[in-house]
Amino acid sequence: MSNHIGIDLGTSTSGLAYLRPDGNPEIVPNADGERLTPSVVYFDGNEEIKLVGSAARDGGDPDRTVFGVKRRMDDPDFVVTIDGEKWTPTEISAIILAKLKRDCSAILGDFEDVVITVPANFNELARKATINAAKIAGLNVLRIVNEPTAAALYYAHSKKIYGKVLVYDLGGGTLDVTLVDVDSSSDSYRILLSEGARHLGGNHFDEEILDLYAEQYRTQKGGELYTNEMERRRALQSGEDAKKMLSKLQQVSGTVGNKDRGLARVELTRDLFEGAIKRLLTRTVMLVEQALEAVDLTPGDIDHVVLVGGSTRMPVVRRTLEDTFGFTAVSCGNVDECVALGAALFAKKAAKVAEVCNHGYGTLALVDDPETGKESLQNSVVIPKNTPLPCSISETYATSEDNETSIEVDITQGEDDDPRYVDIIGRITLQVPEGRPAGCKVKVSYSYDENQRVHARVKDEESGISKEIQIEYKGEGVLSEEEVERQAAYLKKLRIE
Amino acid sequence: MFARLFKLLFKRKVSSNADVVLQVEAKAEINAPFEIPMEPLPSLPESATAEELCELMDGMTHEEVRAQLSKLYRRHNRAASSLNPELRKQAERMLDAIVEARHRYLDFNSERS
Ligand SMILES: Nc1ncnc2c1ncn2[C@@H]1O[C@H](COP(=O)(O)OP(=O)(O)OP(=O)(O)O)[C@@H](O)[C@H]1O
Ligand SMILES: [Mg+2]
Repeated sequence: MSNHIGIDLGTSTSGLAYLRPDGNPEIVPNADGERLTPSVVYFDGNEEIKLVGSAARDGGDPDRTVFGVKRRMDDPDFVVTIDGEKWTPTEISAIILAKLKRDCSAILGDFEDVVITVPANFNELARKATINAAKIAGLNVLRIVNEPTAAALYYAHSKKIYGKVLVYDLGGGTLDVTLVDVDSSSDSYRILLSEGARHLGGNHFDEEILDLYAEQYRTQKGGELYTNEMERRRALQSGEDAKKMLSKLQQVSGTVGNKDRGLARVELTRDLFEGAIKRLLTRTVMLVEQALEAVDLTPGDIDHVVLVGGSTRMPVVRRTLEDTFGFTAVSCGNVDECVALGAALFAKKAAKVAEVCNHGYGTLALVDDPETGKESLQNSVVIPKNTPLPCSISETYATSEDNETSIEVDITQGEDDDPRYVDIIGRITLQVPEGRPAGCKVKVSYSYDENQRVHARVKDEESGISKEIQIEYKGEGVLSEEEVERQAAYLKKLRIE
Repeated sequence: MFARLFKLLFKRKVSSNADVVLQVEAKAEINAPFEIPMEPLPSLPESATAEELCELMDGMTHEEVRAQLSKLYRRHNRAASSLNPELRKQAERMLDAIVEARHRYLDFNSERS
């Protein structure tokens, strides 16, 4: 049994890798003989069985098929209901992980300890949900690691890529841009920054093709290409197939439609497709610009650009990076496996990796504008995004009115000064003695651990009264500790194939 | 930086003995228990053009347009993953407008440059 196992729980596909005794990571295939397992779960109506992977994806009834649940991991309210039973994104992910664990342990022997990857921009709630999913699946998460970080480890290992490396990870659902300083002499990795765009990936390109198909269908047949989810899914799948072919060919054609309204022949050229996704590509360019600006670097300062994620197989992605920034990007070919492979490496090298925090945290305060002399309600950032981890930072504030007996401190997530554009994710209330004048000092401290979990502490300096909290989320889609344990016992008995 | 804590009047107070772990309500309500007298989000009229949404003015230089768009991109890319559904929706619209304005004003073959 290997001690170093990494899992990439992806939006479209998931993979597991282990570290061989010779120090090289290797993908472990599932029991269906595939190196990557589509992250799709099918709830069968006749048998008490959950199908995961290609069989689930190609299974049929869309009402019983769950796709892309990773995009919902940060949604506290999201649940899917099948046969009257509710399933949270955590539980669906647990089923996918359970399949990987069962299939791969047939090859590796029993194991529990793993490293799991998440997009760099996953928030606290989604990270916690991922850890819970693993627990339910009978896995023990040694560490959560950001996907681009894992990929950087793999590129350094397999391609000997060192220096300032920009990892460009365009997968099924998200784009992550991460800058890593890789030191070859000490084999160490210092993350300089991570920026992410949440709804930007292969799935969104597929949607654009679906729109093109629907338009061509309407012109030819005078009706709608799809009127229900089953028809929509089929057309979307044809669109994704065509998209992949367009990574190699200039032109593809096929038939789409249904038996009631008939079939239509659809044509797609690479130019037409690239035109349709230009809007989305520009968003990717702006994210790279934002990343470079944030660390005050120019494209010329970057030693290497490495490609990660299935969507980087599209020639237009590489060309856009080249035309806009002059980057000659390096690709390892197995762009959809390198995150899992890197996660297995990370399991061994975690101590050599220094991460940054991926969200800024602050509080709401009245801030004086030195220019106008006016006060306004602002988000006052305490821990700026991209601060090296682990960290602990304090800011001191003062009460604004006489005789304040209850001091309320709002905890915000986000970097914007304007409070309307940040999330207020909690509040700490301190009860303090009566009769104090305005101007009493209050210290607000945040600390951030290596798994990107945040603790907040507020201390009234005069009375010494303080309170500390860790943010917890509640909602239909969020499981309690007891529910996690109950589901873990339940999943053990479940047939998952 | 030195700032002053804002004294707020709450419609619904968070219980004062909610120590150690503060439970945050579900997403849709996340702002509700913490009603804060803040200005509402700006309304984005259906008919507004990309230029209007991005507040681009006549006579702005290339660099000013670039700076304005990149500032807006930063704000709205972050807002696109907010816990507040209304903000997320606005952010998507703004991102489209930002990209449209960029294509028009900053692309190599744009009308202006
Ligand atoms: N040859 C190809 N051309 C274009 N797109 C491709 C190609 N191969 C795969 N893709 C796309 O890549 C995406 C999947 O990539 P990948 O497996 O890296 O994502 P993921 O890890 O599941 O997603 P994420 O990292 O966003 O969670 C899909 O949208 C798929 O259509
Ligand atoms: Mg991925």
